[in-house]
Amino acid sequence: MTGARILRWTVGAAGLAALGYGVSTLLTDPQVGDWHGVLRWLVLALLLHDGVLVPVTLLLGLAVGARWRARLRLPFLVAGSLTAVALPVLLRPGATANPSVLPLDYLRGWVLSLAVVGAVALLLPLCRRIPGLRFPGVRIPGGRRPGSGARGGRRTGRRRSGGTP
Amino acid sequence: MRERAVLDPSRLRMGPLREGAFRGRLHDARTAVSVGRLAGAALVVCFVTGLVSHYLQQPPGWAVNVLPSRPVWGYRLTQGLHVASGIAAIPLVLAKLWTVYPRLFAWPPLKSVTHALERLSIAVLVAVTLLQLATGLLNTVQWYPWPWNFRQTHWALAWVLVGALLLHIAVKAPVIAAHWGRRSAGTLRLPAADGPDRRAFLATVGAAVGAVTVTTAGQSFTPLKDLDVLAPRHPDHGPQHLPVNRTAAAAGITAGHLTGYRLTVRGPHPYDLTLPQLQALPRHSAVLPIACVEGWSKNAHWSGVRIRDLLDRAGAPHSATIRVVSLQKGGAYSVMEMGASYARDPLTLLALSLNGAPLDLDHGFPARIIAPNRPGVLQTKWVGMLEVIV
Repeated sequence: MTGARILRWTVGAAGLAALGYGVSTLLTDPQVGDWHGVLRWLVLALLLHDGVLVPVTLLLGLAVGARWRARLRLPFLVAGSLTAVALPVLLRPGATANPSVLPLDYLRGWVLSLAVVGAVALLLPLCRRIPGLRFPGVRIPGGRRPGSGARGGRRTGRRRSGGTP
Repeated sequence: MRERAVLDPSRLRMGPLREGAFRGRLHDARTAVSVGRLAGAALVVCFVTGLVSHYLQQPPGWAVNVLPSRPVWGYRLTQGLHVASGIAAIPLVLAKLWTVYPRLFAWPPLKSVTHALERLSIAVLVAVTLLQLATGLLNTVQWYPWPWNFRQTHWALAWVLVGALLLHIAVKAPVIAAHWGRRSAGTLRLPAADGPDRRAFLATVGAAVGAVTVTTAGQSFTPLKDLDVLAPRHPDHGPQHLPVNRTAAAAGITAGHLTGYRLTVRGPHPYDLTLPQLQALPRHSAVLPIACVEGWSKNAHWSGVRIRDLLDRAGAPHSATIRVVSLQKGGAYSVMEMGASYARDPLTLLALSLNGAPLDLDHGFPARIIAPNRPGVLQTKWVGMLEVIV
């Protein structure tokens, strides 16, 4: 066997060993409590992600079309990530008896962070208008293509549309 | 003939299973490798720092007396990284899964037993990763809407996650190698026109990681505290400008419980101290962080009596492990064991004051443990007894 092949099998075997240790701990450690509950939540996580979150994302991308998809990807992904991280602090039910847990106005923080994302997304295409500013190899959505010679803020070429994003 | 047509499995190939159902860009192997290695790195950092936290809290017997008490900010760094890498992994994992989503509808769904096992391992990897990130995040706001014990389940699932991840890397090694660099063979076979779009996508994912990090990392990385708008803790909020994990009320401690307070020290030469006697002992100061397992941390000025001075007075051997008993009733951390490496450290104090004032009741008045490089749950508050266990 070559070195790469040995490494590959070693990594795979280490993975199986860790997997086995984790599963056996889950099934046998009395401190875990209810592993049936864990299994139900694992299936639920998979269904919510694969059956709801991604299809909705793809359908949104399909609905806005190829041209807007490229422009909206940044604000959508950043705002979506901020929202995912903010959900627990926004939605935790019941007051905490500890004033140093959740001490901030999180609705304000969340709205403020999304406003910053929106402002950046609006300003980013204008960066292409700044003479001399280049992002080598990166296409800024909504901006002028490198070397296209057209005015900033407009796309000259049309990308193939249709299909899922 | 008609019956055969009904049984023809290709008739089931509809909806997203149709060939060419996903015509969008960036669902290719190069994008998957580029995002996947970042997501994998975040998950590995999360796993390793989680191991550090686990073994600092529950050391195996041989390690109890040799755990390092330096650097003083060690646990602050590793647990801050644990929570920050977990939060950073959220956009990375979601972007990775979006990239490879069309493969969920690969046709035929199952080709062989090996193929079935591989798909099962990916289902395990995806489900466990999603659950670990979501429940870990909920733990930081002390919200437990599930029927199992968080800590032990998080530990078991972490091993399942890292195992499934290593297995996935081993299975996909040829694909990963073929798409690792811009000039790798597999990358060059992909449409060159996707290159700029792919880099824009990666920059977007990077922006998302940056956004969730700067809005939360201030809970442990104090220079960013002014941008901390989404973290469950803020360094400036709490009695004496220091957050609290377990309040006196939650621990069942009231000022009434503390009248007639005495510190009991059990060892070869046992003794008791009243609060005035304890306060009259030689004082030492230290700047040490409180670093919580939930990810927040902050440095503070502590002053009090060295644990090793109290142990010397009790005639304890230098190699002794000690047991620290809190006045709080019940709770997993009302009794704490401390190995010799911490107990003998000159910075480990039975702290009596915080930032120049007597401890707030929520910070463990009249006396609490503060030791370097230790999880916050082991910095026992409302200390009533020190016991030498040889």
